[in-house]
Amino acid sequence: MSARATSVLGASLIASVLASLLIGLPALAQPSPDAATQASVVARVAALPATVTVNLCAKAGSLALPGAADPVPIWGFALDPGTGCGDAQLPGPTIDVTVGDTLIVNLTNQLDEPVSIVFPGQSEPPDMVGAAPAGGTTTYTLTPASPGTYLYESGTNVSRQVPMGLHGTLVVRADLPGTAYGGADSAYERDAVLVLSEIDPRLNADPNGFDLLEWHPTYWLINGKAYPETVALPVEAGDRVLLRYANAGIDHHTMALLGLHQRVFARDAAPLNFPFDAISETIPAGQTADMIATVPAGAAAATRFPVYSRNLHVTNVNAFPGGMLTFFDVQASAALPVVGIVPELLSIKTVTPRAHRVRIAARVAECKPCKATARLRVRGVWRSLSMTRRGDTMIALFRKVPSGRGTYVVTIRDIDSGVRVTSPRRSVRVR
Amino acid sequence: MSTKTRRRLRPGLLVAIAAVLAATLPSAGSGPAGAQPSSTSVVCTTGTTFDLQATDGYMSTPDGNSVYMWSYAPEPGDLQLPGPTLCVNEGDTVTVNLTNRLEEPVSIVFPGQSGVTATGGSPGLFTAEAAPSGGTVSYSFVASEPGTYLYESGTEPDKQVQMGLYGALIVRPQGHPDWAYDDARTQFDMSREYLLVIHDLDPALHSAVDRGRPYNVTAMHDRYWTINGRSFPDTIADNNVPWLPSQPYSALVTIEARDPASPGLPALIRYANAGMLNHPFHPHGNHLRTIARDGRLLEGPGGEDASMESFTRTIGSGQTADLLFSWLEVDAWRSDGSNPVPVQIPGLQNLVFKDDVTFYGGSPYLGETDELPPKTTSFNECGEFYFPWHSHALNEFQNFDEGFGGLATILRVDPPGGCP
Repeated sequence: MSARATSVLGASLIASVLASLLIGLPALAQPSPDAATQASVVARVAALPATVTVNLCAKAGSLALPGAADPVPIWGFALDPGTGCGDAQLPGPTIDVTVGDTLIVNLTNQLDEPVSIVFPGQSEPPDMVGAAPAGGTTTYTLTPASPGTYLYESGTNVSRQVPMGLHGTLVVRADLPGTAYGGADSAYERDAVLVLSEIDPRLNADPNGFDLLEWHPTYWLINGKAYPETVALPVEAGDRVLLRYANAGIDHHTMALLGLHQRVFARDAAPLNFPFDAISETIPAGQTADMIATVPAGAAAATRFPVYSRNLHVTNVNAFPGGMLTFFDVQASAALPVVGIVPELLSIKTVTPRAHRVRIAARVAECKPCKATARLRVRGVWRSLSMTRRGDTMIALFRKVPSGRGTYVVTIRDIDSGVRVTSPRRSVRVR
Repeated sequence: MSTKTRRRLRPGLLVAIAAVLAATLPSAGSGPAGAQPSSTSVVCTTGTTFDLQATDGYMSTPDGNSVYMWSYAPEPGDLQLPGPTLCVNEGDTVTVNLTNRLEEPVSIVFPGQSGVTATGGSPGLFTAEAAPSGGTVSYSFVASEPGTYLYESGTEPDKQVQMGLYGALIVRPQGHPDWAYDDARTQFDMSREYLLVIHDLDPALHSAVDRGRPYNVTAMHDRYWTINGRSFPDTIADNNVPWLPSQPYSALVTIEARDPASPGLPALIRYANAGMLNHPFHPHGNHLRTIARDGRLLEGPGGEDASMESFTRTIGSGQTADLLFSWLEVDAWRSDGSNPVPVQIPGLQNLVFKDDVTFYGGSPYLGETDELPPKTTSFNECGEFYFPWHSHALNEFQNFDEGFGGLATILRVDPPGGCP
């Protein structure tokens, strides 16, 4: 991984871009969490409808909160990638599918009480049985028919299980990548899920005994974190940022931006007939909303745009700053031709001892629209491929590359300006 | 309100209301669009450079309380809630110079404005801040979009906005001071422009700040709710009444009934919620048309009219809205027998008014008054109609648990031509 490329993009964005590329996903500007504890389930590999299987466990865990002496106990959904249940997460793993996919969710219950999952907005009948305590299992099969942002949450003992953490989001992507609902009016450069929730630690200490009439939260979270632990969203000047708000809490939350408006495009995954621009918009408990905020074209690098609760739940208990507060963090954009193109070798995969797949990338943020060509020479033979775009990166995949030493080079051409830049040659050893 | 919680207006409060109304019922002068604004219309501080200070003081509540507040105020000047309403024109480069007379850093953020730059001060979480006890900072931005906006503190807002550091900014379309937005559909009667800035507060938190005690936002329990810094019935007193020196802006909305055949221009009502809670605002008995939200006209991608009518509108924290309103005499009831009100009007012996006080004039016909039961005190002048406009979260329709009060004002509908 080139150090120069890291300086151009936020490190977290590069990590999520590469992580998703290696699994063949469109790049997400999701707050890039610690992979071990906040794994996202990714589904899309091909353009055809897929069957996506997600194995979840409902289990107890804990959540550290800023300023709290001890982590609070939670109940959360954990991902089982096949090697056993991971740690309980709050919120649960984001399930990411494309409209038309078949989604199978296998639930294993490691709690002492029954649990289930409901999928508001999906047309399958709700589960009235659930999974039995201490190892019971159940399976849900869904075919999300409409794109949008949805919640999933426990359907059992809901007043306690949902605020304890048994909730997450289901993102159903549109057929047209880079749009929320399939049209140019919902196109975006970055998207981010923002799960809103609250914690009253007294409930967490005694989930089934706490008197809910005493509910009085003292922590407010975005994606399970309170400021300063919320993860800033890396963006670039001019980006349309799709904010997928999902209120998994039991309070309404009015979310505001400073320095820009957010276009309220859809509520509960239903696009509005007349989207409108808001500074501050309320997402009621249990609702989702898709809002698109456009970062001003002239925004300088390191500018930060606050995204925060305008009910002013911006404290951790009583300490400011805290709570439901994060920022858009404007990144420096690569500019042509001041910064040269740096081609990167992403991966070499050995199919047979004599045939390898070599994946090469180059970052082209300022080149829009862009044509890029990657050339790879191994054992004296040049191969040339047109690169395809994934977000701000162009990628080429060479197949059946023999073993041996070689070099690679990338040329990009900005179509509007005609500027063409060729990278330095890099060496490679394919084996 | 249930009988269990009903309280009698204390005699002192009753006298206070009478004094408010007798002294300050707005002059019912009428006239065509462009006539003198009423004595309760929006009060604008115009210009492009504004010198403000952050200062402290006390404001009055109708139940006789004084609450310690912080506010933006003119420099020089005294505490005022809300802060001065800044009125500028589309395209103006606006400069706001802030001097901090408090003992903690303060700042101003301008939600809805883009490209706000700050000079001086020291960097804070949201924007540059002015140092305590005399520090300064200056903000500048181009007011590129017409509309109604808030300005408020960007420093520890859960404390400072609660304490009163908020105000409104109005941007008028270039060349059209009688339009709300760059659209002829938003033309309004310039003599009937009203601004209602809502806020909510817990006096115990303010008292803690006054005494240098710890401020605990998690213990917040609101007791007062205000429109333009005042609680009902102070909301219906005139602008700049001498006995509310810290709360100069009225919230009384006065319009004139119009003949549907020639409706003229509507009144413009600008809502802004500077509080921490959402408030369901209810103009009782009338629909208003919301034409814009958060400084943006409600329209479709092809310019389609996406405005909407409602009689209750939840104004979320930090939101603004612009509404057009006309009162058209569509029924045209007449007492001469040609078009009587189609119900049996109760006889005097069947009329009872709570505490023998009323705004009713004795006649259901607009512009006429009639007998009322003996001992009744009526504030009605010439048969005008009154409607309460109030938060429908009815706990907010009180002053510290005593009703009616809080987040409420009145609409006064004068007969065509006004009261003589």
